[in-house]
Amino acid sequence: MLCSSCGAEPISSIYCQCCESLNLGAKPGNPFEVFQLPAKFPLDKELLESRYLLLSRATHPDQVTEDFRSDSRLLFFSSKVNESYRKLKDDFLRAQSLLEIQECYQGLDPNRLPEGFLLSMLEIQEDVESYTDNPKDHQQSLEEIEERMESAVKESFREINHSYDFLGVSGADERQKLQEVKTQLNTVRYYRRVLESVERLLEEL
Amino acid sequence: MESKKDPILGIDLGTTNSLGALFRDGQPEILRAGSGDDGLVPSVVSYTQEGRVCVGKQALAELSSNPHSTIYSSKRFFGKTYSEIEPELSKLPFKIEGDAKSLNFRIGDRVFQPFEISAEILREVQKLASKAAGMELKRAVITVPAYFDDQQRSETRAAARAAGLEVLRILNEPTAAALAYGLDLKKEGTVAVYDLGGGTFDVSILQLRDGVFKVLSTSGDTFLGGDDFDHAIAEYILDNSQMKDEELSSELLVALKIAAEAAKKRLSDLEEVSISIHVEEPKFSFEGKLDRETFNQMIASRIKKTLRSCKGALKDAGLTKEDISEVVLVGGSTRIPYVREQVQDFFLKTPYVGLNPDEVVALGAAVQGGVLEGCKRDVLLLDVVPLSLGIETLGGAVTKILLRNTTIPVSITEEFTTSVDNQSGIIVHVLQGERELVDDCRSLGKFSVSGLPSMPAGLPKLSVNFTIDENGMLKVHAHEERSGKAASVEIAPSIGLSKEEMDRIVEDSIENAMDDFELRMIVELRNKAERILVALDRTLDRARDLMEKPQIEEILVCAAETRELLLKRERNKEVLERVIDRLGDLTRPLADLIFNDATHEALVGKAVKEV
Repeated sequence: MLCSSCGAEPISSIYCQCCESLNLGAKPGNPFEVFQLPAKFPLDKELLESRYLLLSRATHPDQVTEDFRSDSRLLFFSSKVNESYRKLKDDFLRAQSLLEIQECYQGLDPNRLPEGFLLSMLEIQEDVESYTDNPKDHQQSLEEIEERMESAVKESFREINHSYDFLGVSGADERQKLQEVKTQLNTVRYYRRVLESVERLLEEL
Repeated sequence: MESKKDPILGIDLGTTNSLGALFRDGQPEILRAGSGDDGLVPSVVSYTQEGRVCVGKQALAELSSNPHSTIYSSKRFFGKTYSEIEPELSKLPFKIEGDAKSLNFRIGDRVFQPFEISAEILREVQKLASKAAGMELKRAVITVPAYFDDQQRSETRAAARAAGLEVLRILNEPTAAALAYGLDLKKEGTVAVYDLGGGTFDVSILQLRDGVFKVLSTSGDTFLGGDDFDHAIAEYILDNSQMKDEELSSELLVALKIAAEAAKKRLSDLEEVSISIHVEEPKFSFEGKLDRETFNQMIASRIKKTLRSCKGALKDAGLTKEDISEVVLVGGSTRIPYVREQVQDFFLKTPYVGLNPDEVVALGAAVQGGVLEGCKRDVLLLDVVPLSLGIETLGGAVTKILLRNTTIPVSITEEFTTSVDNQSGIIVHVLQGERELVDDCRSLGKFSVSGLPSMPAGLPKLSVNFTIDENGMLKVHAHEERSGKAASVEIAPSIGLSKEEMDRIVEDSIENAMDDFELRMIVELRNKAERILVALDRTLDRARDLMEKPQIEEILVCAAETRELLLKRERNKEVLERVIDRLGDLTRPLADLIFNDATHEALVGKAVKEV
């Protein structure tokens, strides 16, 4: 959509950098729309960063005159900019946001996990718990688990990226691919929980 | 319309020293009385036997001669309770009282809360700064340790309020330092600010780019600083003296503090220093030496703790040491060579020490003042919440809604439900902290969404929204979507005091500050007017049944007029008296009707002053 006052292509759903005007009546939309970035999993981090700084300058209450500062729309916009930035910058939240804007999102099974996944995670969790009393003696094992979980997270994001490649490709079973994304995101949550407890133990050393 | 607002004073309210600075002619400037003055106000307050208050350098001079009535490091006690600081007590020359919920300083027959002491310091800084600037400065940006929790920030606001200052922003100290540093040197990149002061430690990691100062993460300890190093040296002296476990007199404790602090400072330049203390009552003598290595060992575990915070901050920022382009040292305690070495070893680079650690925070506060005034447009500060915020959920657990290091302003909504069938109300208990159980976190407030229709457990959909504005003020709103019932609360800067208690203290401290009898009268009149208005609000509903409409109209008009006068802080005695008399006359029939004359006395009667 082009800017209604100057006709340029704006960098945001709420701000036009060309005429430097904030569109106070606009709906910010989803995080991708806020920064006018393509709704895809791969991200141009540098572009996001520079747009974030520009938008922060445009919306942050400190940047306007004192009379305008208490305008609640400003607080709403700057919160929205911060929230959208946070959601795009983090891989997990970006994948989740991308999922949420898909039409079939509500129809996906929210809790699905790969077969046998829970059992294998339980085993790992039990191992970690058995080390809690004496983490010093098990430093090596803990570090091994840490490494395993970290690469598992990376692998999940590779899978997620791969599944998202099918977005918009005609003939692809989009719904199935999106379910795969959801499933992978669920596994990341488990990996991270284990990682957290492992890191806590390692920190004690 | 001309809307030129007053300039904004930047104040570094430090544990050991405080300082004011102002943004003028495009740059921040320390406000000094003259070229020979450093502008520093030692954060010390002394109450003389004649009832006089002295603050700053004067109070510091009183420390030895008047140890029972001279309070220092009051900031260290913000947000603390008596139980929490009990182990510290034997090291302090002044008296502290309280219980598991409160903490007071006792001086003779008077008690003071920590914020009241800090209010005196703020007032002094404001006075000196106004004098140096040649104009009355009433608006301020005040800095606090980044790791201060809501309670500690509230106490800072309360201190400012009691000092008659309007606070435009509570700014984090390391952020302020980064502002001054980045602006002065036109730096870009990722910077770690290591701020070790007299009472607190903070580390913040910031990204500086295109004039935007973005805080990536922050961590710290609000009870770790130079004071602890002084205590360690004092302990060393006692251990090496003939003194047995007797009760230590205030005189001796002050002598120990002064000697310890001096030794600590000299050890930054010398490998070994001699210490000598002689106190008459009780007789105490010490002659000895302390070398740097021994001192380093004394403080090693505490420095290690600060490095653990640095590690946490890096992790929260998603960075490694290699990503940090510069480490900036702030705070008087970073003059200690051992601290510099340890920081260097940790970050693997020589820290930047070109800033005056005593001034940089005040300068940064002045910069932010300039930004808020609107005369410094090219700088923008993006700060974060230092501690996670959440609500209580099943089993006394805390579910976090806003994670620490989230950039503000921010607004986040999460959904919750009930755990019991037919719950008619849901209590939203707002908490701050990183721990997982309610008991380990700081309670910020509680409110309930009530009047829910009967529903089985799990069916209600309670949306809880946390919004934090650019000032760091939190608003929590909750509504149950199926019934539409809603409730919200603004987590007002409260410090565990009721509004009345707070008002009394503020009133008292304003009175203390006023040497003018006339002004005192005006405060009395204002309070009287306020009391009438409160009483009126309470009785108005019943008045509507008992009085004629025009009569009520008249009362309301007069009440509105009074409110207006209070709002603009009317200082004209006659004007206030006139409106109070009129309000009294108008409400007399009301009082007669509802109660009796005795109650009317309460409505408009003279203030009964508690002493």
